[in-house]
Amino acid sequence: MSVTGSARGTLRGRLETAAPARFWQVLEEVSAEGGFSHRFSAEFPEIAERLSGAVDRRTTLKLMGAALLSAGLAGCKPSKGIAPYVDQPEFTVPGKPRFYATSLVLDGYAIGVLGETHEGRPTKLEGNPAHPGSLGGTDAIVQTAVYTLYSADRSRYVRRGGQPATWGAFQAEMAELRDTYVSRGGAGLGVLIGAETSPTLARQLDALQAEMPALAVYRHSATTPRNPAVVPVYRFDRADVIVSLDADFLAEGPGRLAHARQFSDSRRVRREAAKMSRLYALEGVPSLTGVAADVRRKIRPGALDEAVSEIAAALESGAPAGDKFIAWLVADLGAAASRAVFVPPLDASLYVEATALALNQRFGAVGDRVIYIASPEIAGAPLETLVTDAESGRLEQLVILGPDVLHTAPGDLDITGALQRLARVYHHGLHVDRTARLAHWHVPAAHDLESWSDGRAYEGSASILQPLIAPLYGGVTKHQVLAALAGDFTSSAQELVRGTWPSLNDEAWFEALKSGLIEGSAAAATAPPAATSVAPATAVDGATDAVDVVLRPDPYFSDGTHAANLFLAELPRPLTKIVWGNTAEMSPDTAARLGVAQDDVVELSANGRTVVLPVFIHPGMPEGVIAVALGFGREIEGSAPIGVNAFVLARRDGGGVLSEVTVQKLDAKEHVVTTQHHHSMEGRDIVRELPLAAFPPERNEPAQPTLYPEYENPEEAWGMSIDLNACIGCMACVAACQVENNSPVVGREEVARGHEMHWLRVDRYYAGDGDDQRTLFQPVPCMQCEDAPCEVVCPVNATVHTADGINAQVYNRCVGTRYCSQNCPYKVRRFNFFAYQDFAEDNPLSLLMNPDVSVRERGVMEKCTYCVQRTRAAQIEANITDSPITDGSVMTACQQACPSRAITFGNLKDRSSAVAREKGEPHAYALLEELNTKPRTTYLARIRNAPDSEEDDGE
Amino acid sequence: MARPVDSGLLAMFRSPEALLGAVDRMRELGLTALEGFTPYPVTGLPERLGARTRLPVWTFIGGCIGGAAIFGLQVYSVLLNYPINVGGRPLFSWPAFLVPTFECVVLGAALVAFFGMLIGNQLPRLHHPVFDAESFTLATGDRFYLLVGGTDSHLGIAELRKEFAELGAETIEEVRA
Amino acid sequence: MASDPPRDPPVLSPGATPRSIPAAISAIPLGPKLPRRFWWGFGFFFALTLVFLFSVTWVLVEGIGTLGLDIPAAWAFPIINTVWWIGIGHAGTLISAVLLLLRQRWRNSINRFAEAMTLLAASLAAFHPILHLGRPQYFYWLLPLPVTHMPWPQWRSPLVWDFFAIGTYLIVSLLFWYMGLIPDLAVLRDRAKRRGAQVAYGLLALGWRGSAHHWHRFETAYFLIAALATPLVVSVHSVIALDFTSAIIPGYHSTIFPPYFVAGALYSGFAMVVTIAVPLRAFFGLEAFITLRHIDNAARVMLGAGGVVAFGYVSEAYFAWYSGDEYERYMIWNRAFGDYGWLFWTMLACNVGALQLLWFRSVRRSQWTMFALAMVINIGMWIERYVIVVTSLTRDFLPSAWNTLAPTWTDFGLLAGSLGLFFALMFLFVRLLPALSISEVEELQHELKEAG
Repeated sequence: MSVTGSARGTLRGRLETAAPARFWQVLEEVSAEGGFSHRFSAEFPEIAERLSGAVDRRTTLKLMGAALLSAGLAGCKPSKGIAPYVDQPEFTVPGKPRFYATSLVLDGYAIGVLGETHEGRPTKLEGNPAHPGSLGGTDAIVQTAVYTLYSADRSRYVRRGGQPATWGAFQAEMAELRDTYVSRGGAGLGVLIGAETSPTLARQLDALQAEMPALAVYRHSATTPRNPAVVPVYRFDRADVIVSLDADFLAEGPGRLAHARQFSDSRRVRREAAKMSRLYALEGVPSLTGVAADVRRKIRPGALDEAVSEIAAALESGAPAGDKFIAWLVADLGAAASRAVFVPPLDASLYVEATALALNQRFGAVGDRVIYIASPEIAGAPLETLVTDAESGRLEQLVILGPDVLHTAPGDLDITGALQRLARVYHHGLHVDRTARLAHWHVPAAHDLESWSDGRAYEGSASILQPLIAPLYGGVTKHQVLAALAGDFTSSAQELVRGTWPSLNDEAWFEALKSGLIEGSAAAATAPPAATSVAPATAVDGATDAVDVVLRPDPYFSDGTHAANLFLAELPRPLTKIVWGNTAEMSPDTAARLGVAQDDVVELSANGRTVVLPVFIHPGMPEGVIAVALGFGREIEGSAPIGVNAFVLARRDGGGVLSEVTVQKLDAKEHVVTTQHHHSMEGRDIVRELPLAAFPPERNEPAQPTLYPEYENPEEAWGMSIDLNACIGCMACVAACQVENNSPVVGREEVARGHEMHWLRVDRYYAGDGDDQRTLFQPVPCMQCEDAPCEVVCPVNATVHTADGINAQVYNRCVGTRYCSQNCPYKVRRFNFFAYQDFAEDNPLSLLMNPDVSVRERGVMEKCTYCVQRTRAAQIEANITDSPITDGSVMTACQQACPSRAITFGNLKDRSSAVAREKGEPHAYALLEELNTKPRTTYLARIRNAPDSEEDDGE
Repeated sequence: MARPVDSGLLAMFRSPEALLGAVDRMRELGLTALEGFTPYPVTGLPERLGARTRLPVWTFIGGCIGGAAIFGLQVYSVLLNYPINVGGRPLFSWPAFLVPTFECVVLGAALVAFFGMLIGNQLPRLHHPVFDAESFTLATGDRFYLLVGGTDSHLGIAELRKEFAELGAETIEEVRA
Repeated sequence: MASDPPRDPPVLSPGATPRSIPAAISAIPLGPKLPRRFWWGFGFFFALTLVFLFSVTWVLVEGIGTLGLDIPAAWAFPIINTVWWIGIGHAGTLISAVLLLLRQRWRNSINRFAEAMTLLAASLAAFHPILHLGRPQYFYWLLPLPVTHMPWPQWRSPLVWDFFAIGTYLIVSLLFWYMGLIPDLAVLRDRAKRRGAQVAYGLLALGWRGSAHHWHRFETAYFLIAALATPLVVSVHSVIALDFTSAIIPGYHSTIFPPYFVAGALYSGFAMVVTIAVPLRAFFGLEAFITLRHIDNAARVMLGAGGVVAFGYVSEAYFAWYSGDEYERYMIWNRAFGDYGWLFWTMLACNVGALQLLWFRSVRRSQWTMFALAMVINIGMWIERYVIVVTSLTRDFLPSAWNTLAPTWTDFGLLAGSLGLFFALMFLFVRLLPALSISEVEELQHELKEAG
């Protein structure tokens, strides 16, 4: 295939400049264990001949990597035995995508996805509507997973002491290991896993422990340090009063996508059903859940216990004591038919957890709005135990399946020392990270999209992971590693997983693969954990000059698992719009008190450990608190670390809040790069907000006269409606747009210069101030104006209207005057100031490109086209089958990705279409409609359901 | 005027007034084949020599052609050849079309005026008999010449020389084609 | 001005005789040596020209991103330079054409280099927008060419209008300028001693021999083109103004722009005329032909045009308030007090403040003061374009899209470099061609003599 073709070219180029000798040694060494040299000479016969003279190790590794890569590409076909999701053609039709159901495992839990593959290349993931963990929605991490799949910085070959080795050699090593320890019942051998729900992994571990009872299993997850035996599962769509006890249930945890869907479903205010749930939120540092709340109360992050006990007391006495928040809450819950649910955070203190349970029971939520199930996660001893075991010598050899513990271990835990004590450390992971480099052996992991595996959703349903592509970089699954440890060297990855499900006959198995879900595998409700009585911890009294530092996983990088994903690096953070780095976020008051300003560099030190970060002023932050995102600064071979690793500040006793942190201003500046620089609406009618009481508003449509003719849309007239009340600002749509439309990553410096290339942006504004300061989100794609200002000024007809009313951009015709962008009141056009796209064919990322979307060259304008490739495909299909396009059968990438179903798209000529109905709602409005550009994209106003909303003018 | 006069007797005067006087005298004598050469346009001279030009008419026509062509092209391109919805504006957006039209009117007219002048004057013509006369030069700002075509003269060369001398010609010499 | 008040200096010093005029003027192109400072000056501007070439190459190779541009402010220095240069490019034609039609005698001795100035400035103005295309190699797609890859230009776009306007303006100015040169080239031909010069000027003179019939057609054509150039010159800057007027961005969308841009063009144009005239007369001993009277008249035109510009500022602010449109109002407020407020006040100081000095005859008649003032006004007019082009863009409708703009060294390289190129070519023009119109000065001298 062409890719190997040009890979060959560049390799030859490298070889010209190469010197001989050690290369053959290495190749010999490899070929001794078979595989590589044959594959290599098969891929590059003429190079294999011309190879002579010494090649330094780097070149060798490059060559091998490239060879393995191209081998992977050559094997660029779905591996056999897997089933397409929908009725597939008898054989693949070139140019027609096929969809396969599989799952991604994020923080241990499965999110069901449908993988779009073009000629065997996965190019895009969509949520699997049948999967409870997705319900068709996705988030930015799922959307950009394909980047990680192809990215060149993945680990590409087995290493022994940093030197290339082979899978065969590793298997031999495992056999040795097994011989050593089976006799000793496993004493001294350990397996370290991350958060895991895979039934196959559980089965394998159980089997291992059966024959090696003393085998130690450790578990380390920086995002969910605690792993309670019983976990809650919420049904927010059944609640009408939701009380978040500083829980970010919309953005964190395995159920986030389902929560977002349920939550938004409970708040769809329409003409026929003008009711919505009410969300109370206690909030330490700003979170997507907090900004979605109708009533919010800022608390000091350390003081959650106090706040919760205050609420509990008030509800007990029924006396509306305290502030508005409590008074209203008491009033609401006093009402007879109030269906309330209380939500504690993932890392809740025992007291908060117990209180939440008690309140849920008291208000009859248990069994309805919340059920409790046995945790689907595999239990394991915490990292502290591992360290003590290593120090005490109880642990001699360790197999690490995944987690980059050297990066994510709390700073006060000497994990490096512990691992160095061990006789052998075996590491299995996607990247050559610090842990991999310290380990004696490293085995490249197969990406979820290359793997046979399985996993459970947040509510226990199991689903099978089937590979959409053969491993590109010769990765293996963790099941294969454990199989080797268990002495099984023959079973394929598929057989290992199949073996876990004897209950399924082949038909059921095939069905499970097709639907991406194993029917009826959801966990049954169990009794809630026994009520414990714990006293609330009294918060460390905030001495006025004390500063708390809150460490939170980054919304995209999580604990660093995705820190090598540049799509995520350049995706603006939902609340701050920061890209390419983490910062010390603080409120203006705090900054004033510390005498620092935006872009100043400060040194945060807590008990002897320090991190150095630039300051970012974040108005939503509570006074005296600094928030720092975790997951940055991960050191992966082949890519420069992004940001600063803040885990060094973390403490082993968990809890993300550090008090008494000293802040020192350094004499330096670092520009914090964001994609939005102004945060007030300046009193303009941009994001409309109205109180629920004022619904339905009298719709004011200024009948604006126009001199221009009406253009007919002979077939469809595409239009879009965005419900600002459903949007939670999670940025999944932006990520989806970037992947679907081949938008490039431009890098930190370019973004700093205002050259970012996202076609769709989510604007974030602040309204109000003080305690009732509100954060408003507004996704802004191209408005597809019917009287488009951009088109009139283009001198070369490069942007014109299509027959179905889309404001098209003809890249080939564009000469790059940028006048269209000048004249766009929404500033949604993006320009290729440089050659941002890498057209080199041997760049593995070129496999990620969506073949239905042209890649833009330097000097042309580009913009959102309502995913014209999708609408066109549907129209062609309709013409072939001579049947009309049914409403909802065409989805734009942003719409499909949205977990809260905030975006509706369809044909406006069909008055019964969903989008037409949405636009008919009383609170529909067009952005800047006084300009009379007749946008095809319109919005539904955000609705605020605060008890005082009668007085609330809702600005 | 009649055929351009490019041979005959060339007299040089020191002032435009003298030249004009000489021209009047020649006309009294009934000589019509006259041509004057001056360093800058001398008021009244062309009229006396009966110079006329239709350049304004041609210029006007040139302007009309330029404007009509571009306006026609615009209408043809948006209505017939490639009608397409641009920003919801009317296909026939005539006010917008007026700008290129105006520019092309000016362009057409100016081109005709310039090249019309050259053609009318039969320029470029790098050599001309009058250049052979020793006395002839445009180098100084104070030499004014009168060339009398010898052909249709009923006077003899001698009389003509005498006339010129009386009119105050500084040099008199013959120019042969 | 037929009867000038006696206190006014003459348009032509009495010393000038029919013989002295061609001698003095042609001495510059034909003379053996030029003063050393001429070559120093030329060398300096040639160095800047190299900077220009380097910046241009850099942009073409690396991409337009090397200039200080972003979304929302996707137009910056190159467009500012364009508008500035085209403004400067107006004075020449105005002096030659309009003053010719108005029979202003004082034009005769300054029109030639003013026209040259126009040509160079207009060429630079035409160059910048092409350079700042994303794909400059395809600039010709704006022409209605029978090509397969694109149907037609989009006639409703002001950029297409620009293309036609500037193109026409360039061609017409060139014709006008060259036509005026023909008789003088004949003079140089006849005065040249060296063979090479004789041949060169001879070819360029097209064999001009000053025939009365030729002069007749020549003057007819000259007047016709002048009559055509007059509306043209007004149209060109109006069309440039339409780039902004017909856009919807607050700060662009303002109907006052066309007249106010034309006035601005006159203003900066005459400022540049003074900038060139003063050194020219001083260094080449042309005081006899370019007199203080010319400087004075130029100053009066600047006073008038500058007044109109000042009125433009006021009415812009007034209508922003009067329209009641929140975006317009914010735009004006932002201009004065936003990120770029200091530029706005500098602009006022230069274009309105400094202008007031011109009320005093003593200032108008002191050439070096005028030179300094002209400099200040040139700068002020450049800043005016910056205020219009950039400040408006950085704060338009949606605050979320607001951003500031950081110029790069390439921007300044282009600006300084284009100045260098301009003046280097002016030097060459002065060296090679008669900087004043010989025949017209002679004619003027003759008329003055008759007038007594």
